[in-house]
Amino acid sequence: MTSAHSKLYSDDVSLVVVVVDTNPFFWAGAALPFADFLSHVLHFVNSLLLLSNLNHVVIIAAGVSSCAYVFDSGNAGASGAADVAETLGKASRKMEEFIKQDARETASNGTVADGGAASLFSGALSLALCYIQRIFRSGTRHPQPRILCLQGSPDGPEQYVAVMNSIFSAQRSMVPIDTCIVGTQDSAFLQQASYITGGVYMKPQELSGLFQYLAAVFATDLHSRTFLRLPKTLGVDFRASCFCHKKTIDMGYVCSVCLSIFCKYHKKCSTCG
Amino acid sequence: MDYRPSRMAVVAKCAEAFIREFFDQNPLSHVGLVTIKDGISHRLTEIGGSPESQINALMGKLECSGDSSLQNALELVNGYLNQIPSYGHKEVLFLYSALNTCDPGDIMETIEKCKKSKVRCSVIGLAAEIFICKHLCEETGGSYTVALDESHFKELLLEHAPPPPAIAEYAAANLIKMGFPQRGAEDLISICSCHKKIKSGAEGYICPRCKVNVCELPTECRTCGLTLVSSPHLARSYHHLFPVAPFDEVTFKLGQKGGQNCFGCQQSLINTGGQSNIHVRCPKCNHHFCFDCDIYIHESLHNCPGCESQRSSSR
Repeated sequence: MTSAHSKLYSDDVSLVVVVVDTNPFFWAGAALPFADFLSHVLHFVNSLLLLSNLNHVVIIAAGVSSCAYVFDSGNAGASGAADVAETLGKASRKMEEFIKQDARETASNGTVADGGAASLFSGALSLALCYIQRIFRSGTRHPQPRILCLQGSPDGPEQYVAVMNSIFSAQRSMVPIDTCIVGTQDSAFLQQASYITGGVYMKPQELSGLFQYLAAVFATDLHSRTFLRLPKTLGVDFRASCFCHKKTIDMGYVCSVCLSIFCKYHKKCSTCG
Repeated sequence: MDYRPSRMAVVAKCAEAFIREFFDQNPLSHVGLVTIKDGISHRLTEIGGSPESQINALMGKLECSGDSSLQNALELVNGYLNQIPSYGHKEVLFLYSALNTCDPGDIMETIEKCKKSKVRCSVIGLAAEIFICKHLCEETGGSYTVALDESHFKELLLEHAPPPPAIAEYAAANLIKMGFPQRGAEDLISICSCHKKIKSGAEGYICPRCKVNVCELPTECRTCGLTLVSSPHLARSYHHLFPVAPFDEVTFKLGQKGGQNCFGCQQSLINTGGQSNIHVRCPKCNHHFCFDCDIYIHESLHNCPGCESQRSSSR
């Protein structure tokens, strides 16, 4: 797969794909109400669009039973300043529709009932990457893409392989994945994602000032980032966890056929035998 | 129609691209380079796990002279590969431009030896098809291809980067001991064991068994011999274990509801330009995708966005 195309468009034009976590199980118990959170995000999206008229923003919602595109600034009939309120209105409506639809699907599924349910983050990330590939195909003049993930729900371990595949694909296409954690726990997947792809990982301390954090850290385009001092995570834990007990290990045994990791020596690999 | 500026230069450049792609697809593997010159085989670089040393050797001055001897090369390579533990898959890739081979002994015996040690030999020819190369590849289970021009050569070479399917009897599952090092503390100053330079602990990794500082992963600790990897290196190969199902081709039926846009990139699937409206659909999640997303999903992403966006019963 080819890596990033020549940046003939202009150094500071960006395409930002925002992946919003809409997991109702998380937002029901969160400190910041979802409506406030959404208004912070939409104002941030607006400020991105105001930075340059060529900037392009796409919002993808990651729900509990489905993922979907919620907003694409390229579709809006760009006709000037009157669009500010229209943008916000359209995006909020679409988001509300998505959440209702997602809730209906979750109810009909019936299998997801506990509060620790993860959102379908891997699906939303895959959609974001497909959209970015479409932008790459549109010719040599295109904005510089990046992905911003607003995540609150815990990581779903069943998504590990899919998330890692997306991370490596983003790394090859040179698309940074930025993360802003709006929940209480750090996300190991997103720390790895931001580290491997060269993005920014941040966990704001005051969620009521979310817009300020977003505008100060995540609004700058990739070219201008080289001149700024952005938050750096001190060290990502890349240790693996063993398949038998799920605890992180320093030294383990890896099966030569299927690459499963065990903490103690077994005569036969339990995954592939 | 020959390779410009010279065959050697083209081969070196394509080999560099191949090595990068190879380490991208197989992060835990090792590669070594061998040259055949004047009928003798020389070892250009040691078998190592990092692309930089191999690429530096390729970028250096490489000269051609004299005859080529396939048997000598095979003997040399056999000697090296015999030291590899049994769980490793052994392979040789020849980039062969000569039209003959001048051997000191019976090459058929050498081929038998390779077959016994389970070394898979493949050849990419630049000139014409040669019987002995074809025989070698057939006997050892490798592939023999001849390049038509420069771009074809690069294509053939890059086809060897993804790992071949393993044959069940040959792949004995062993559990190999590996270490997962952490970064050292910020204030720890020590000497790294690979370059013998002073480094801060936060720039390198600490081997969990002998506690020396190593600069990059994956590597083998020079002091205690433990293979050191990080979990993304293992995760890079998981997509071979869980591949995406191939998509089915479907055409648009009039009056079909939904599926107007590609699920992945939201591009319209309806071609108004008179071309037939063929696109693809995932057999598991029934979402529709355009051909470009299909290629991207199967070659680079290895996840179907539709399947990942659904909460199936297995989750």
